[in-house]
Amino acid sequence: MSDVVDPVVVVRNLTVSVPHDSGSIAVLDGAELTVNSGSRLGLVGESGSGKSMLCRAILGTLHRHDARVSGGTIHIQGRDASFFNDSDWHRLRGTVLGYVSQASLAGLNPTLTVRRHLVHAARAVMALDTRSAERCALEAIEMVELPRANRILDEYPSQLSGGMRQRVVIASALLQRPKLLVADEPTTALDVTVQKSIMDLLVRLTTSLGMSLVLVTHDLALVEEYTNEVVVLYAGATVEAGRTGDVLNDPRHPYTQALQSSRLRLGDKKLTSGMWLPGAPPQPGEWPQGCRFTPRCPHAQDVCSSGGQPRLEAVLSVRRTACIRSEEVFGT
Amino acid sequence: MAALNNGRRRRPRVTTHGAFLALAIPIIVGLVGSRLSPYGLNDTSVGEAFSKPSFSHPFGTDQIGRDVFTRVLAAIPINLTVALVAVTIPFVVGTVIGAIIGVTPSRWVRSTVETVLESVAALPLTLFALAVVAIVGPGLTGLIGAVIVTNWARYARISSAAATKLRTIEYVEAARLLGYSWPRILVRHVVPNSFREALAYAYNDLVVVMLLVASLSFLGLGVVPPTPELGAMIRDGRLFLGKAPWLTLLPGGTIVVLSVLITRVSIKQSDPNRVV
Repeated sequence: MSDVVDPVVVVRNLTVSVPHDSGSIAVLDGAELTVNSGSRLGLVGESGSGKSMLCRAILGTLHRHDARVSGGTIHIQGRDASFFNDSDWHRLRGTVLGYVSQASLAGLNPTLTVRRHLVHAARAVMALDTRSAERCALEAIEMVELPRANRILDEYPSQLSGGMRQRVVIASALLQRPKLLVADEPTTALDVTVQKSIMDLLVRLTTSLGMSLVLVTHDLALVEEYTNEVVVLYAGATVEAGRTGDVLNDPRHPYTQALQSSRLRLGDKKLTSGMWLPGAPPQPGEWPQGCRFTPRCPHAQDVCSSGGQPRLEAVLSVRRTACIRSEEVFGT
Repeated sequence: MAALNNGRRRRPRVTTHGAFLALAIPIIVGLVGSRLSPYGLNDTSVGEAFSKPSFSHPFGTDQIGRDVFTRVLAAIPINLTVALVAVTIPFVVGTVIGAIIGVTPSRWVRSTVETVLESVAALPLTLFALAVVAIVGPGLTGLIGAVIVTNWARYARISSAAATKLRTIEYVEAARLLGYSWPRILVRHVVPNSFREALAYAYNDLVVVMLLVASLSFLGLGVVPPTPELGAMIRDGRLFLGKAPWLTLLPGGTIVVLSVLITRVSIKQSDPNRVV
């Protein structure tokens, strides 16, 4: 499947704003994202960079924050999402778009059994009688490799471990075999061994179901190991995008470079300058003129702080960066 | 209260059983005991008036020779049932209304209902009950009605606080995105996860309401004589406090024992880690 490159989702120059006092402020401005069919894409950025907002925009669930798309486009399977109404979104969720939440505890109702969760979810979106819905639920539980599937169906979320709960959440997202699974920090609440087993599972499932994966995280190690494409967000804009290996080994944007060099490695004896990035990311509404990374950028020059946020430009054929000095700083 | 538990969570079911028993036992003892007693509730025997507590009359007799023990036994189920009804109805009504305003997307509905809640919660319960009874006349209907009208607001505020937390929680949002109707989301997802605090308050409220019923009856506004009721019995006995103190002390003591019993249960019920 992975050689089919028609994109499931294409996001172009997206602006999303939330109401604030009497006006509104942009939380995303200049976000770019292309999810190719069968690819696993890592979406990285600091807290507040707009990762979750971008996911919500793709899933059509911005209303929770009263946010709305105020510029740019989202295409889902080639169709312009700005023309979607609620029932269009409803049809897409589950069949095309799947979502796995961050906190697996909050994803499950503590007063319902696993069986009820899955059967409700299956029947809400497909016209099924109880027995086929039950069979669907059992298949989904087996698909996420939970042992003793029949027992687990009758248990409550509180009787499951964190990793098992996350598997149940994944199972309910997969009931209708979506084309794209958006996983918003799926392993944040889990310890590293469980994290590995969940990530391995997600990779196996994307391969066997021919599904794409968007993995939202701030853990570069996860991105490096489990994804083949990466998109780096900073202050609401995509600053770099490309194949994971290329971007992480040979960054073409000073922010990506700073992120990469701030990772601790085995054998590091002490912190050296360049291993951390001074300053803090700007809050939405306080974004600086020009490139939003300028105040923290070691390579910034006067030219960087004029105009608006630079658009993503292609460098080195398959790479894209939003740094106007990319070629001067990193060579060609 | 057991009926309110949907029987889906294991630990609360156990504690609720305990609480249910603690209320059921005095009610059953009272009902059965008063039937088995050799004396009728309203059997008078003027010759035996003001008998001291003895083997034949454990709580003595009153001014017209009625057996006080039999009347106290018969009064326990009445007092407890009235309190139970006057707590359960506002609890159910308030919890559902609170859940609705907790998760409603309409700010207008929310602020309107909250204003009503504030106003109702500002009513002083005892005074309001006096006013209602003054209008509809003495009797249990007016009394229970007054408690319901003032108390549901407290439950609504408690459960709306719990439900507000659920508004942005993912399983509620997921239910909404799946296109479930609001009633279904309320019944399946919001109420089962937001009524526990209100339930804990209800157990505590039981004591308060039981005492309120007794005090209003003491003031002559509750049950109509000759129905046995603990507050009314104290009222009748107070005229003979020097001569026959058991007429006030023993029904009064019964109220104290019941209050302590219910309080013990409510403390256990409010403690999430305790299994009765």
